[in-house]
Amino acid sequence: MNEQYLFERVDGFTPHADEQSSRPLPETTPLPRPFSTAIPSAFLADASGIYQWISPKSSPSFPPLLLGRQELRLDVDGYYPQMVASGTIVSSMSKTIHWIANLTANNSNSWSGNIWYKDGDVAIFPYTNVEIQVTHSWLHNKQSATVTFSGGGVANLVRIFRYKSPYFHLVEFEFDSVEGTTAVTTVETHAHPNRPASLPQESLSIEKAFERAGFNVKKSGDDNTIPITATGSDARWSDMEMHDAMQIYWSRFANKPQWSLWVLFASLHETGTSLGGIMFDDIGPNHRQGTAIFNDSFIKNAPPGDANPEAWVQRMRFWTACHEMGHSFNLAHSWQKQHPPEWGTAWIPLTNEPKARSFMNYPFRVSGGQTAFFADFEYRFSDGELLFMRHAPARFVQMGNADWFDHHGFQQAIVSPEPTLQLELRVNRKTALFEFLEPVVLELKLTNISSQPQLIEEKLLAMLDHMIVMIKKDDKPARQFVPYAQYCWQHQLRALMPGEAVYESLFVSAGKNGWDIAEPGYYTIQVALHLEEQEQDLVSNPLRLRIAPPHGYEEEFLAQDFFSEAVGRILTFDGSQVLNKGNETLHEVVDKLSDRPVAIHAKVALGNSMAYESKQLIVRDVTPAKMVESKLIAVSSPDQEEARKQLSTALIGNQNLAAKTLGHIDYKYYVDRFSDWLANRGDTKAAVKIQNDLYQTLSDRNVLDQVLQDIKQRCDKYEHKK
Amino acid sequence: MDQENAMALLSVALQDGFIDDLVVIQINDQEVFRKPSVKTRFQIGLADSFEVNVQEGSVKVEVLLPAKQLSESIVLPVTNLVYLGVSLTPEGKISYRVSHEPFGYL
Repeated sequence: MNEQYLFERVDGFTPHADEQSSRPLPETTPLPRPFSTAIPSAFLADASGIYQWISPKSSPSFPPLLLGRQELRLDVDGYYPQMVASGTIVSSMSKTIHWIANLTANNSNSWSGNIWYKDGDVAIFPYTNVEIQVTHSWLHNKQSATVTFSGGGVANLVRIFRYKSPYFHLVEFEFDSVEGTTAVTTVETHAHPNRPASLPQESLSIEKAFERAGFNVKKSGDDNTIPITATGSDARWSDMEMHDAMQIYWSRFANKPQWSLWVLFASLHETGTSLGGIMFDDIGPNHRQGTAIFNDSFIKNAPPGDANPEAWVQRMRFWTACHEMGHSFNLAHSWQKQHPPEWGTAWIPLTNEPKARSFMNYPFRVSGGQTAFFADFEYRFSDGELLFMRHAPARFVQMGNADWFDHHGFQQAIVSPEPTLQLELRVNRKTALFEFLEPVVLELKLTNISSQPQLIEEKLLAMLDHMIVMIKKDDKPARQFVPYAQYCWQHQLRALMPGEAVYESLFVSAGKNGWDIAEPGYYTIQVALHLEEQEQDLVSNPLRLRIAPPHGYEEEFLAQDFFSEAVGRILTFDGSQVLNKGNETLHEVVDKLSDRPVAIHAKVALGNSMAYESKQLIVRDVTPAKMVESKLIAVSSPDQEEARKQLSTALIGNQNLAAKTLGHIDYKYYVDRFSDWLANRGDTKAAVKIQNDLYQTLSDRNVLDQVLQDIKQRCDKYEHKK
Repeated sequence: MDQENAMALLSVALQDGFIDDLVVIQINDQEVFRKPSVKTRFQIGLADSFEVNVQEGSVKVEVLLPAKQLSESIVLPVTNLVYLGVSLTPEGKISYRVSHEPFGYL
């Protein structure tokens, strides 16, 4: 059954929480249309633009996660239509979802297509298709779009969005120039004879070029003149000098993401005449806010014999300004779109556009050189670039938000429009708050959400080589978790029945990158699991967690030793008999922080390393000639008393805390291992008791019956042994 | 000046694709450049550059990235002033661009 909501009255536009723009998006005149005729477009009521829906404060029949505020960006006509719709949902529970769909026209006012991209809390947005019906009106604010979301195994959802603006985002520019340098912000499109035959004759401004890319462009105040003394004695600009000048002279400077950009026109960079311009702001936490154009660099040199050198130079300076500003929108060069992951993360799989007549290509790099380039250049960005600028999640595009060349998480995932499996990342605690020093253990849950059995690899969730785990601390670039070890499991399929789930724990604090989760603050973690057979990626919900600040000086002091590679490896591999420095630190943790969750992890690792015989490779002589013959495997004896003490206090002392900090899966694993160890040494009574305690603890924590049954069976096995 | 001793200038630019790479460049089998942590600034497509005097004529330029086990050599006819751009392609290969005009970066 469809649910339909219509809200006639919409309060003033509120920007996205993640956009952080403080100004309302005003009602504007429509986006100018390409090669416009004499017909005024104001009342043609073109469909493209941004639409908005705001939910009522509550609605008993509505999923609470999908209440809140939604935007729809419809891109089907006007300048360079991409036949795309995208949407942003900011739910009443502060969860954000972003989706993109390709559209085909059903008729002149209706479009439909598959949702091929999702970002954010995708688990609460299962829909895979969208249909959009626009109802025109002579009054823009009465124009609406009826959007039907369908697919994903849930009932259709229908919403009616109100038209807000013909543009997709608001942005503001400030053009400052250094004393003696003229800002080039317009070009006469017919001034140079080498141009496309169909190019309209106009005086094109930078603002207009970006309006055609879909932006409502405003100026952030007066354009200023910067004294030449700001460059120092050499009158050339270093990146640092420009960064300083940006902070002093840009009226909007702030260390935060905002849809605002500073453009500096200057004479030369300290590099010399070979640098025509640069988006210099890849320093500090908020990249891409500032860009510069160097009028006296090589861009002032028209080719020998050019038909109109003056117009050529003006056009080249204008092109350079738009090019550098494009970098501020996080656009790469046309030949840098497709690249290995170590160069940076592309937001979706991209292909290079070496022939593109785009602001982002170098005119002299295309076949035929700059003459061929400008012969076909229409003062625009490519379709792929427009898709990104108009429809990518705002945080990738907005100045000061995503780092330059870093588009975050899992945008390369090949996500099925009709997923059969759902991957969930979660914690075994009410809120994802971890103490300082507490190792972070997460739980993965893979559920068959289809109506048919699904075949999966038996160890799919343990196959870290099939998994990408991204960890992003707020205000820092995302990092990929690299585990210390990967395991090669025998290929073995299992059937996962409809509704059935499998689970696995995931320790993500430390790996080959070091301690990815250590400092206090907020982190977002997301997992992508590659399903080889289906050639698909399953992307989990992004899990947001917080690491609390340290309790005091002692913890901070201990942290310097704790966040070491040795401790990371010991905790990963449940103990070590050779990483002595790490073991010393864990003993110190047990002594000084005995009532804290981190001590439970320390005791488990120390206890495990002492519970069993341990083989160690000894190299008595490390000189190359003698190394091989001097190697031997030594077997060390267990320290059963100490092992029992450490494991007992870790696992039995405070079961609820142990289950919470170790996670249900690992807690059960350690208790099973310990009770087996006790039973094998003849103490079946103790083994039975701790299994009974385990049963009670996990029962209180509402784990699956199947797990409780497994505990009972283990108890029965011990009883039978007696 | 004696033709055999005429000198030319070779300007070498390390351009796209370098990510914290150790780069070694040999000219006529002599090492003229060695630098660790060479990293492209992708917004201008340039990592580093240097100029070296060479004898006019055929010059063998060899670029080595030892950590990536990559090397590639090119023989250039160098007279007066030649610009050589070296990049790493997305496929992990070394590529060259040769110009008699300075490269421009934007």
